[in-house]
Amino acid sequence: MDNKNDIFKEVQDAVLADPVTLPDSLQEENIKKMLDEAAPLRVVKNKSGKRRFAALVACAAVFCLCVGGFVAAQNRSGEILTDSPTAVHDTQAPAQTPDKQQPETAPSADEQADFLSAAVTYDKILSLASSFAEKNSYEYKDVYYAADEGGGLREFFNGFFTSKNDAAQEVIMEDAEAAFGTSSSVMTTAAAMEMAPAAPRPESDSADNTVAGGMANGAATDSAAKPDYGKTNVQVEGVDEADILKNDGENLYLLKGNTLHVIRAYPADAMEELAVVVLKEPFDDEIISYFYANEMFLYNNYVCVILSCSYAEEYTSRTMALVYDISDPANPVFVQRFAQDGSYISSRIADGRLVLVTSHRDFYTYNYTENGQECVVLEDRLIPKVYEGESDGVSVAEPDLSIADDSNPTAFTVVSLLNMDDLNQPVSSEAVLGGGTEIFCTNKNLFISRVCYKTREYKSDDAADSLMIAASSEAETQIFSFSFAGGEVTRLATGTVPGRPLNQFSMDEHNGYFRIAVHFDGENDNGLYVLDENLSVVGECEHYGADEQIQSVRFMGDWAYVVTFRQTDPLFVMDLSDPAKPVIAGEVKLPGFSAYLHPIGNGLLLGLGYGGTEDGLDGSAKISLFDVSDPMHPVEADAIVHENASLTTEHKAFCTVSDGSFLIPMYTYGTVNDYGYDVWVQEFGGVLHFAVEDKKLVIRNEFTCTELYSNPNRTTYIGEVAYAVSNYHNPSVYAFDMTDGTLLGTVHTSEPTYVYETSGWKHYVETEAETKYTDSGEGIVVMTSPAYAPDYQGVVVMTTAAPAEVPDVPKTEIAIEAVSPAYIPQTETAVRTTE
Amino acid sequence: MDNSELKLIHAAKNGDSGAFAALYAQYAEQLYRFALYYMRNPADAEDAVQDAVLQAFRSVSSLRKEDSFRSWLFKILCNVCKKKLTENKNIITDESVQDNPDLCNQESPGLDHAVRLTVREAVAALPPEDRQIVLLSVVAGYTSAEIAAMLGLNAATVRSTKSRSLARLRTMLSEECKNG
Repeated sequence: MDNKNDIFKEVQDAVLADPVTLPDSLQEENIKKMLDEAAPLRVVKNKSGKRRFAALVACAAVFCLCVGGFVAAQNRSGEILTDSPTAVHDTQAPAQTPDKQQPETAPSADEQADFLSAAVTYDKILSLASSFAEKNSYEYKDVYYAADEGGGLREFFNGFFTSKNDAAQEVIMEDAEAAFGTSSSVMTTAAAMEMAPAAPRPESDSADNTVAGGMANGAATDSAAKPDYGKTNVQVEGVDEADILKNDGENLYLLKGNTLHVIRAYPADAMEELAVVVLKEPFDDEIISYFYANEMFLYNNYVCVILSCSYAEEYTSRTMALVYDISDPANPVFVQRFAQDGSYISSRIADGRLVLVTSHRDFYTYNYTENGQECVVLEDRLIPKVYEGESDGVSVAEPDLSIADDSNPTAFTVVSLLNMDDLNQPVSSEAVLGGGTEIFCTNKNLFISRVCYKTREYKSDDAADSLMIAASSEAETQIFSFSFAGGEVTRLATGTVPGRPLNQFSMDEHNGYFRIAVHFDGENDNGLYVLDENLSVVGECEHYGADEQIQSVRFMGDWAYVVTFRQTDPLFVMDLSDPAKPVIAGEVKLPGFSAYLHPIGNGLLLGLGYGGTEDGLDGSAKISLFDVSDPMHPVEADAIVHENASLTTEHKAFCTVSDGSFLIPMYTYGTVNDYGYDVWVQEFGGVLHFAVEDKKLVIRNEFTCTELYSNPNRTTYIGEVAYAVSNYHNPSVYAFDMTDGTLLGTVHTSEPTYVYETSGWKHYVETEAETKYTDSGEGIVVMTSPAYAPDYQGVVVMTTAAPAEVPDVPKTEIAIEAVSPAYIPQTETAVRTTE
Repeated sequence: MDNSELKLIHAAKNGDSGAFAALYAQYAEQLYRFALYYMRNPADAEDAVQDAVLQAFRSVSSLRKEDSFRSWLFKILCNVCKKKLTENKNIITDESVQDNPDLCNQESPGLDHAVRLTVREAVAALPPEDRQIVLLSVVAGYTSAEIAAMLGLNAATVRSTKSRSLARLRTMLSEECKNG
């Protein structure tokens, strides 16, 4: 268990303990009365004109028999089924199956052609979207069939067939993608190259990708005098991944909320905050309804921050990259920005180019009426746009559009390449109709996975509605591949495999073959597929870890390591040297499971995760050292288990030190009963420093952060100094001497003064409100929750003045009249002025 | 789901308002609690539940998957709440949190009052979409996959939203503990 569950439980306990009184009108007898007064509508008119209901007359007859007053109700409603010619026609028709019931299968030749061809036009996209909108406009009588045709029902029922391990799985997946976790690390190239197990078969040549860590970007500019330092632990060597912490060997860059903090970290006795950058400033005059920084890159002298935002009145998600020049770290200078439509999926810096992947889906609107819903295509938002610099958005050009799946046009995957070495170069973009979920990226190619669920027919015992189509738990994963050749993003191929991948580590490319490990929810089984460059399956290995779910995957050249889990953790070693015949070479079963696998060379593999017994997890944290040098007989060479503890299993939180040792954030906890119920509290929060010596795990040190709420979620190092970074409140950095564990210094970052602006509301954060806003103007004071700026302490100041009319309300015009202390944390006050 | 509930569903599908009301009563408290936290004031919550129940009753005959009755009710309630919030979007309802007697003025045995207030306030202050996901999880007990299915979202999106919201709640709550 980790603290995410603690907070979930705390919230749930409090919410459920809330003594809510059901109003009289909602009591059962009054509801019955209300229902009796408003007899059921029997509207069957369908906009599409396609009738799918058989025996409606019979159904209505049953209704008449059963419901006293129904006939009268029909008369009142004025929309009786027999009034509609189409309905009459349909009642006489035999039971029809819905028109679009074919399950999503591997893309046909046509689909592949659509993906590759340049024949996709805006008109074609609009016609697909319009047809989807029509299917999703329905009256309540039609809700199920209509939703199903559009794929809505498929999604609706997806999830009701989840496996036994669902609860455990959910915890893990949430942990893996924890938005607030994070880190840094480096793996020496030498160690990486050694990694291939001493296998019967020689390791194949080109280590074109797949080795953790690496002296990725930024290394080129380091002067020789700089000590070694930690870099973000990445999946593919040389392909940088964004994170909330970056380290340039002298300064640390931290991202929190809407702010970038620059901290001089080395030498540790001179630690201080150099700069606080409010990321909204470059577009201060633009009205954003929400805005937060996801993660960032450090590339040469640039920091590139990836933000999610939504423009007011548009309500569409946009993802923005802001580039700052940090040649003078104390004065970051805004250089350039780029944005594209869609919510953020992931990003990389590969071959000197920012790869930005988003999912654009805000192009339908739903109007609800008493009788049903109407779905409308927002034509001007349909085609995703890219925004270079300050310019207005430009729709992705027709030749750059493709269609991966025309049956469910609910989202585009948008990919852009931005040249980080020449920010003024035009951006290259592609958009695919079909929303992606995970990416795998090398310096040459990008692979995007898209999970979809097949449909299944159900017979109903209700004679009137003899057939329904619903989602099955059978997932398929569609894969799109793109090339970066010539600095342009170009689509290559699309393919499909059964099942669904766990995360980015489930995918890999080696010697021109794409490999993917998947879980089958339906059978609760697992598979691994090898695909050629056309993304056609050439080899497969299915049915391993039956009744268990994949918890972590790592590919290393010709080898794959897969951990599955139900109650114990088998680690499977798979031999992929013959792409046509991937086989399981060996396995080892252990209690607990590893949520992240990290190869360290010499046929050794670290597993970070959860300890347990034969009966399941026991709340402990575990680091396993696997010896996979004999692939037929992998063994756990050693393990460290901490009771009541949690490791950060986010791969970016893991850091490799240049001497081959490792840093990882960890905390242990116990319970106190201060609130009348058990509350988990931190006992140790800090960083574990360990090493592997003679195939044994050796704990070198535990760096403890003693302050309350200082659980670090990232760690890195410079020279002999280890840093723990905590992201509670304002981020804090703790520096430790790696040799003896002494705390060398602490920096608590400061608070920004201006947070963000929404439509008509300006959100400020100040620390000394009372002294700044003492004028009693026209304003009224309202309570607001700290959640409006949850990441900040201070004063939230809001104005309702429309920004167009009053671009910037002078602070002296904002008055504080009164606040209700009971609802306001000591350091927060909220102000709203009226016009 | 036991047989009695299936029988009720069959009866409700045939227009039996009493059966439908009985079905509703099983989940009434959950639905109302969800709506109260989502809408943030009792009057809107009451309206939303009434509207949702009415809509559900009118379309229950088209319910194909009977063992998903509860999810289906929640899905309809979500849509109704979302629509109402959209309609009310120009009206700032934060005041309603403090004016809300249900949310603020009742003592609950066994829980520290101050702590609970903070949790309420924190939940109420999440953005509506995030709040909806957190509440479906906290009040209705749905997994991220179920919520994703219900709202027509990607499961990963739900997980990350939930994760982000919980992290926000944790920040707010820990700030509270520290300050108060």
